[in-house]
Amino acid sequence: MRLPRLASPPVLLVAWILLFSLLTHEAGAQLPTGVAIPEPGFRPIASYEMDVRLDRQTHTVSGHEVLTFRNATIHPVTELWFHAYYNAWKTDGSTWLRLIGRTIPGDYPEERLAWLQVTGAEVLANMFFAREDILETFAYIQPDDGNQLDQTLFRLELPRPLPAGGEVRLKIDFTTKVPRTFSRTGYIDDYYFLAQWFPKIGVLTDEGWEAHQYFPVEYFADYGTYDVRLTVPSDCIVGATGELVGRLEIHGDGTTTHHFRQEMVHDFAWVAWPKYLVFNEQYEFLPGHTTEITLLLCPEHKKLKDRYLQATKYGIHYYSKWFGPYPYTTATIVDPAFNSGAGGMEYPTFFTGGAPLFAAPGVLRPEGVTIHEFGHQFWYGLVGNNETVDAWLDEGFNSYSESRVQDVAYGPNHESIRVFNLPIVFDEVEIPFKWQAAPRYRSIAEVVPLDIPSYLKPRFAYGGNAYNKAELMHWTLEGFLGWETYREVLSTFYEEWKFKHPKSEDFFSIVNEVSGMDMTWFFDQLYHSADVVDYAVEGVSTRLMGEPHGSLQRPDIAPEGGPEWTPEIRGTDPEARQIQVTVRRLGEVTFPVEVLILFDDGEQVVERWDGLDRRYTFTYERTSQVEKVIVDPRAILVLDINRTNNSWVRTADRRGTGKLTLRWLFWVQSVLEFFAFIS
Amino acid sequence: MSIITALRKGIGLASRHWRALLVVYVFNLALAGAAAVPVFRAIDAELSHTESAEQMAEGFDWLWFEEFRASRNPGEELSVSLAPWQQGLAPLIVNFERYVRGSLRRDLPSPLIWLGILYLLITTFLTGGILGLFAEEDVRFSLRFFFDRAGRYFIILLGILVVATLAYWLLWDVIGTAWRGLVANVRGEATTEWTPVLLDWLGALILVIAAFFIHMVMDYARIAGVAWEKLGLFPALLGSAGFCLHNLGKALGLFYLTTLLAALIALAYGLLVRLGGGASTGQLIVMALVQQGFILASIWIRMVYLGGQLSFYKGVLSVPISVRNPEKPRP
Repeated sequence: MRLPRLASPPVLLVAWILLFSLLTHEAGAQLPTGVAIPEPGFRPIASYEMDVRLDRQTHTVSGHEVLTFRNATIHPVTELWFHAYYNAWKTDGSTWLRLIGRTIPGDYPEERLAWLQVTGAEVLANMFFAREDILETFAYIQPDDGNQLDQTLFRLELPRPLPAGGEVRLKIDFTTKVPRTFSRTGYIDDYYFLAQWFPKIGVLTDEGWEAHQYFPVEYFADYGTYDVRLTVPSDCIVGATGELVGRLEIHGDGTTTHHFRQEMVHDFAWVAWPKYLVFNEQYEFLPGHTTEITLLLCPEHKKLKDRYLQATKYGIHYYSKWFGPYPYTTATIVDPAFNSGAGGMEYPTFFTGGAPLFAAPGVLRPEGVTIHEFGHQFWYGLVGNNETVDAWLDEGFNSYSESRVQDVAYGPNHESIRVFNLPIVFDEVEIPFKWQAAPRYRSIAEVVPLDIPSYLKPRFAYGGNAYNKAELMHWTLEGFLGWETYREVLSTFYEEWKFKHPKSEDFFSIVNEVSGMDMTWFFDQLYHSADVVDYAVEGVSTRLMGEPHGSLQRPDIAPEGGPEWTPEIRGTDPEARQIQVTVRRLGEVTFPVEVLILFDDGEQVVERWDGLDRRYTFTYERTSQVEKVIVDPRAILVLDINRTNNSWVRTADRRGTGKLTLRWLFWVQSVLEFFAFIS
Repeated sequence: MSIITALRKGIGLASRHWRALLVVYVFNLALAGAAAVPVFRAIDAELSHTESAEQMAEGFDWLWFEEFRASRNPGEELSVSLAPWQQGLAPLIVNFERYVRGSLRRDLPSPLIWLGILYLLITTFLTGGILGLFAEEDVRFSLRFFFDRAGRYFIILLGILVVATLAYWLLWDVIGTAWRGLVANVRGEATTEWTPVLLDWLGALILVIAAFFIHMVMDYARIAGVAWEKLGLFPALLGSAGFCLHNLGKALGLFYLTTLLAALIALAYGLLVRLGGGASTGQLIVMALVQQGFILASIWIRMVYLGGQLSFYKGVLSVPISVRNPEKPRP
C-alpha cells in the first residue's frame, strides 16, 4: 500500500520528531532534570558521562565514557576493576556460556555474538592525577574461576595509588557489538535494547574489589550520576534511565541525539525502536509526591495501555506508602517487542514489562510483571544489594512486595490456559498471591540454603530459592509479627539502606531491632539451612473412660505398626470420652504453631504448641467428639511444604472429590470420542 | 439427493437406532469409568477428610490441587492428568486443539493413549454394526444382528483404520511438523506476535480441513466396504475417493453441515454448564447428567455423520444398498 504523497515516510518522520521534541521538551521544562529527592550525606561513587552512537548496519554502539570514581574505602587503591558483560558472548568457553551449557559456534551463529572492546583508556587530570594514557595496563582477569577464556572482567592500573576519599576521572573509549539477544539485551530487526553494555566499574569495598566475572545471575554497582548522550537513527523512539534533558538534537546525517541524565542510580539502560507508541502521565502518588510515567508500548498492545499504566501507579503508590516515597521524577515502562528477549527486567527508573498478544482480563499479565519490575526500583534500585551474591535481598523482597500489591489492588489471580493462542480464564480457580510461590519453592526446597552465594547456586534451584523461598519467608514473617510490625521492619530497612549496599545480616538486625524479638532462630533455620517446615495432624483417638475404643490416624504419617485409618468412631457411649489429638512435626524446622480443635458441639479450642517436639498430644475429657483439627489455622506458615496434612475433618465431605472426578471422567470420555473420530 | 435430505435421513437413522447408540455409550462409559476409579480413590484419600474438601466443593482450592499434583508418583499418570481447566467447555476445546494438531498422543499420559487406542478398535468394530443397521432399510435393532454385522465388517474397517492412520500420520507428523517448524522459524525472528499467530492459525485451519477430508473419505470407504461386501480394501478406498471427488461440493457440504450441528450441540452444552454449578450433591448429579447427555450427543453425531453420508451415497448411486444382495453393481 502506498502512502498519500503528503504523508510520505520522511515527512511523517520529521513531523513526528518535531512533535516529540516539543512534547518532551515541555514535559522536561516542568520538572527538574534527572534529580532525585536529595539524600542527606549522599555522595556519588561512580558517575558516568557518556556519548555514544548506535550503528544499525553493524549493530554496534561506540563512543566514550568519562567515569568519575571516588574511593570511598579506607584504603588506597592502585587498580580499577571493570565489568565487560558483553564479552560473555564473545568467545567459546566463557564462564557464562559454560554454566548454561552452550557453545560457540555450536549453539550460536556469529550474528548472535557480542563483545565489548576498550579502544582507549586515559586518566584525566585532576588534583590527584595528571593526564595519562593507561590503555597498556588493560588486562582481563578471572578472580572467580581462573577461566582464561573469560573476558568479562578487566582491570586498569592507575599511575599512582588513589588515596582513600580521593577521586579519579577516566576517559574510556569503547565499542560494543550488540548481540541478537542474550540475557535480556540485544537487538532483533530494528529493535535495540541495551543493558550491561558499557565498561562498568565494580564495587570497591574495604575488603577489596567486589566484582565477579559474569555468571548467569544479576548485577552489582555503585551509585552515581549518569549523564548520557545517545545518538541513534532519527526514526528511533528512545527510552532510557533518567530524564530527557533539553531538546533532541537532529543531525544532518539522519541521526538524532537524545540526552538523558539521572542522579543517584547505579546503572543505565536504554531502548531504541521506531515502532513504539509513547504515552506520558503525571502521577501524584502521595500528597506532594509526583512522578512522570512514560510508557513505550508496542502497537500490537495498544489496548493494554491502561493496564500497564494502572499497574505502575499501583506499584508506585503502595511501595511508596509502605516503604518510603519513590524519590525519582520519572518512571519509564518498556513494553518489549515480541521475541526481543528483553521482558521482565529492571534498571533504575526504567524497566520492562511483557504481555501476550491476547491478554485476558482476570489474568494479571502485564500487571504482575509491571509491578514486579517497578518494585525493583526499591529492592535493587534504591536498596542496592549485591545481586550476584545475595539475590534474595532484592528478588525475594520484591516478589513478596509485588504479590502484596497485587493482592491489595487486584485480588487473586486466576488459572488460565491458551488454546489456539487464545486465553481461556477460569474464574473459579483463584490463585492466592500468598501461596503462589509455594509449588516452585517446594520443588527445590531441600536443594540449597539461601545463604549460598547466588552465583554458586544450581541454576535449576536459583528461582525457587532466591525468589520463591524468600517470598514465603516474608509472608511467614508478616504472619508471625503482624503486618504493621513487618511493614515497619521493611520501611526501616529501606530508610536505613537506601543508596547503600546491605547484606543479609543487616536485614536480620533490623528485624530483631524493630520487632523487639530475637529472630535468630528463624533465620538460622530458614536462611542458613535448607531444612523444611512440615507440621501435620497425626490423628485423633477416643477412649471410653480407660478402654480403647477406636482411633483415627492419617495413614500417610501414622507411626509404623500404629493403628490403621478408621473413618468412623464406633463408640456407643456418648459420655465421658477421653480424646487425644496428636500433631506432628515432620520437617526439621521448628516453629511455634497454633492448633485449632473444633468439637461437634460447636466448641472451639485454640492450643499453642512450641512445635519443638516431633509429636505432641492434646488430651481432653468431654462428651463431645472432635469434628475438625487444623494445625496453623491462620496459615502463618506458608513455608509449610504440605498444607494438606495440616487438617483433619471427621466427617468426610466427598462433594469435591465427586466434582473433580466427574470433570475428569467427562474429559476422558471426550478424549475417547476424539479417538473414535479417527476410526 | 440434497444434502439437507441426506442430513435429515442421517438424523433419522441415528435417532431410530438409539439402542446402537447406547451400546457405543456403554463402552465409552465403561472404559472411562474404569479409568476414573483410581482417580476417585486418589482424590478421596487426599481430600475428603481435610478442610479443603468444602472449599473444593464450593469452588476450587488451588493450593490443595498443587499439592495433590506434586504428591503423585510417576506410576499415577491418570490422577496426574487431573487439571483445573477440566471444566465447562474447555475440555472439549482442548481436545479439539489436540486433535487438530495431532498431539493427542503427545499430550496425554500413556494409560489414556492405550485406552484411546482400545476404544478406537472397539468403535471400529461397533461401526460395522452401526453401518450394518443403517444399510438395512427395515431391520429392527437387536444385539445379535448388531454384533453379527460388527463382526462381519470388522476386517475391512480395520484395514481402512490402518490406511486412515497412515494418512493422519502423514498429515500430523509430516505436514504438521513441517508447519510447526516454519512457525517456529518465523516466531524466532518476528518483532510482532501477530505474524506467528496468524501463521499458526493458518496451519491449524489447513490441518483441520485436511483431517476432516481424510475422515470424510474414510467414512465413504467404510460405507462402500459395507455396501459391497465383497469389495476389497483398496477398491473401497479408491471408490470412496472417486465418489468424494465426483461429488465434492455436496460431500463437503454434508460433512460440514453435520459438523455445524456438532458445534451447535457443543455450544448448547457450554451454555448449560455455565448455568449449572453449585456444591450440593443434587447439583452434582444434574451436572453429571448434563455431561453424559453431551457424550451421548457426541456419539449420536458420529452416527449422524455415518447415516447422512450413507443416505447420500445411496441417493447418488440411485441403487438400494443391502448386504443381503451383495451382487449389486460396483461403483
